[in-house]
Amino acid sequence: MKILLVDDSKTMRNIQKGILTQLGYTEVQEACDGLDALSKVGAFTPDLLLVDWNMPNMDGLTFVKQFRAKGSKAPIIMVTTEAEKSRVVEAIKAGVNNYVVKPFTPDGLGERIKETLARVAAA
Amino acid sequence: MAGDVDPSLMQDFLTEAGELIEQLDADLVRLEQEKDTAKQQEMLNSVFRALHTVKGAASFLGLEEVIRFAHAAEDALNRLRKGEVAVTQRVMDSLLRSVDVLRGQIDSLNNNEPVEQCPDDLLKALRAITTGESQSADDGGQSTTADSQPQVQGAQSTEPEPIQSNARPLKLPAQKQDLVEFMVADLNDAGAQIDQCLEQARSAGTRTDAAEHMVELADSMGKTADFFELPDLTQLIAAFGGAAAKLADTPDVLLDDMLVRMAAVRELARQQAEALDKGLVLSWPTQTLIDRLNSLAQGQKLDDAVAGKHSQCVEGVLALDGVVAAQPTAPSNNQPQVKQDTSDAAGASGSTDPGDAGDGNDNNAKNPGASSAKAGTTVAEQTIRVEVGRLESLLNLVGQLVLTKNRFLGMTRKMRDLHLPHETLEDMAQAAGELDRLTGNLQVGVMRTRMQPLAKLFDRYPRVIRDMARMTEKKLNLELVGKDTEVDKSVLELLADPLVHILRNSADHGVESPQKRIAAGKSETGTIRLSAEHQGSHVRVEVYDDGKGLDRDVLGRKAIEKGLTTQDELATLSDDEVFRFIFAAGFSTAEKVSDLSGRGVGMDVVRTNIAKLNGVVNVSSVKGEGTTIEILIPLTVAIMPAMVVGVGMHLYAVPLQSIIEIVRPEAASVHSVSGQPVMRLRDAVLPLLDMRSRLGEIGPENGNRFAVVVGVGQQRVGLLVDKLIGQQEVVIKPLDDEYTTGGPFSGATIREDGDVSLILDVVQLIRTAGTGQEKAAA
Repeated sequence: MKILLVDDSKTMRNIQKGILTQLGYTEVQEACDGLDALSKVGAFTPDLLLVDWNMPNMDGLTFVKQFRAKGSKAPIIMVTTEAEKSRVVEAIKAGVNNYVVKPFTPDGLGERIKETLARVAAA
Repeated sequence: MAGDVDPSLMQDFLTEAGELIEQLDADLVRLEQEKDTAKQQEMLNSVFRALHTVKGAASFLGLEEVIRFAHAAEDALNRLRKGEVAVTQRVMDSLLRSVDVLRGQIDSLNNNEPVEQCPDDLLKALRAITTGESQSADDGGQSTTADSQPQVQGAQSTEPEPIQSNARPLKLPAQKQDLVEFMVADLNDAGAQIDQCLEQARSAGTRTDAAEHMVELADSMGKTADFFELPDLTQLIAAFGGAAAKLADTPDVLLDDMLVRMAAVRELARQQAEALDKGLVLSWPTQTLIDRLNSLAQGQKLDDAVAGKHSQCVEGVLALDGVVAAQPTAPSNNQPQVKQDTSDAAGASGSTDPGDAGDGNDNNAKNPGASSAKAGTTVAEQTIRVEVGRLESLLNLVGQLVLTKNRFLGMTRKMRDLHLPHETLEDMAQAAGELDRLTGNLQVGVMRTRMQPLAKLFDRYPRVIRDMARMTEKKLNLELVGKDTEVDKSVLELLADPLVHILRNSADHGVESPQKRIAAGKSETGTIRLSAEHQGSHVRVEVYDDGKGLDRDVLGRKAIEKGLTTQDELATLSDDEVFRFIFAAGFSTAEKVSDLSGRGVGMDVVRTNIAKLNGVVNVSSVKGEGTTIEILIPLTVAIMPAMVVGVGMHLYAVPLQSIIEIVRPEAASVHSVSGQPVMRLRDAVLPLLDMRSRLGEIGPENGNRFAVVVGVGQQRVGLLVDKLIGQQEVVIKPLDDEYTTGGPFSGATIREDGDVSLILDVVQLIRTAGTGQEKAAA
């Protein structure tokens, strides 16, 4: 299970990575913004992406659009905040499969990941 | 409070938060000055992002105080971002203070101190921004949703009941459930657009455009449907999209069959949206409809029994394709009702969050996207964080390597006298040359890892100037030039305070009040320019202000008062020398000590810090026109080129940067003026300093001595030395202060033969040369 973490904050990435490790996902790569992520998806071919919304250079939404435009089907979980929730619809229309609101607990994120993967497997 | 947090995570957070806060500070100040609303928006987004990241990370680490406060600030900022609150000085004061509080909190965490609570008045001020001034906007938003709600309900009451029988409750994970209402609004919005497109698709002229638009709509609707786990709708919309993609190529005979089925899908989507709003999901047997759409999309005619049998209405098709049971009561008012519904929904969504925020976000994404596409890799900076300690030790190793290289080069030179075979010598020389070059590159490379752009410092100063302007009620404009200039980390650190002091001085004492400026025929706004550039192996930092300039008479009087000079001596001093008094400790010409400057400590810090960096400060000023303070600092403090000279029995290193020239004084040109040996150098008189006596060296007198002419600022002194050895890169090893006090040494270095040489402190030498003269006179 290869997971790509896209977040501009190293702290956030570390935290998420820690949670993912706890959950048993060890094959995790990181990208610091949308552009970085786009440059990495080719070689890494993640099975799941955790994407932050607010990032410099290229935000999460733009990234999702471009990633989907390439025809990539890998499920994407958008990481947002309470304040951004109303905008999540934008991301959904761009092809996001699920979202999780910060701050999340390990259980919360684990739940989201399971949900998302189950849906992908079912489809 | 955060006791159970992984310390390395905490450290990461603190480092990152510190950087983000610097950025916040700089962005906020720029924001206040920015007139262009598009750019303002961009900066607000950047500010928001920075604050947001701090908050997000803090919440993971359980830093309650930080979160509570960051949250309040973020809310306030959000109002600004949405354009609901204007950027005013008062608002900015609160926000900037918030940054300060946040910085304080981060600092406390860094020092393992309890985090201070946010001052209540600030919290109140932030809340006032969030709630008070935005009351009306908030109400507006709520009333639109409140309005649209009953209407949707009203539409539902006229809904044909039979369709409801295939409804089941919507079961979704909570976080998706939360978004259903947005999805409904969005589906309705898309539906309205599809209605329009379907209309346009009837005429050949607009068909292609309409089809393209529908493909896009279908794409996003399909993704939305999938997100909300509605497989029926997802499939329907996929078929719809497939048909839309082929619409332009569809022969006219099939067109009717196709369009009416597309309208049917749109109708089913509308019904689904309505049901969702009530927490229900509808399901239909849609396979036939989907199959028929697909074959039409492939240009296949439908069976004669089916083709054209849709009676030109959606209800007809739905019945024909077995989606719903044929109903005689199928309401024919469905069509107008749809229109009414969706226009309401479109209106609502237009005025509420998703639309606005979405637009803003798009703009935001485009701008940096465009620039980053050009800049490419430079923007997506690939960096790693390295502990400073490691770089420090690396630099140390390189320093030792340079020393060893010097020894090695020295040895190869000696080997030339050993009558070895020519080829061996050649090889040695070649290897030595290569080593020399590589070490040089390595040294530059390692030094560059420690280089940081002055922007790190410069970006703090707009805030300083802004606060100064607010407090002194002056109008100030700070220009920053060359902030990409890179300097060694240690230089950066030591430069921070002096620059603040100089800038404050310029703002407080240099630039006049707006009234005085206008009276003097200057523009109301004073300009302070902070510029930096590389000059050879030095960095030149200059602070210029177009203020009232320095007054020689006032400074002179003050200097005599403080006992720094005498009336007689003052007359002989050049302007520049008089101006230098501003750097003396406790020297202040300000009539009253203000909050900001005037205590006479500041400029002294400038001098001492710059001296620590082996740097030079020069002041020039034209009365009434402005003042320029120039700082010259070597790029790095660890390794420098030096001239090795021999005095008596020992060798000393003189920093190359302070050497102006080396001359050999003719005995005839050396004179003595009041006990001080001087020589005539071209048209000037150069004081000489006999290094043998100054350093207490003994040894055979060498008649052919050299005068190494060194200078600091405008002052020149000739150092009389016995021998010149040559130019060398010396690695500076600091000496303990105890040994250097009084002695004119700034450090020590290891020579190529392994011996230790002291590095002469030229500034000290020149100063003592001056006092020596005074003593002689007294």
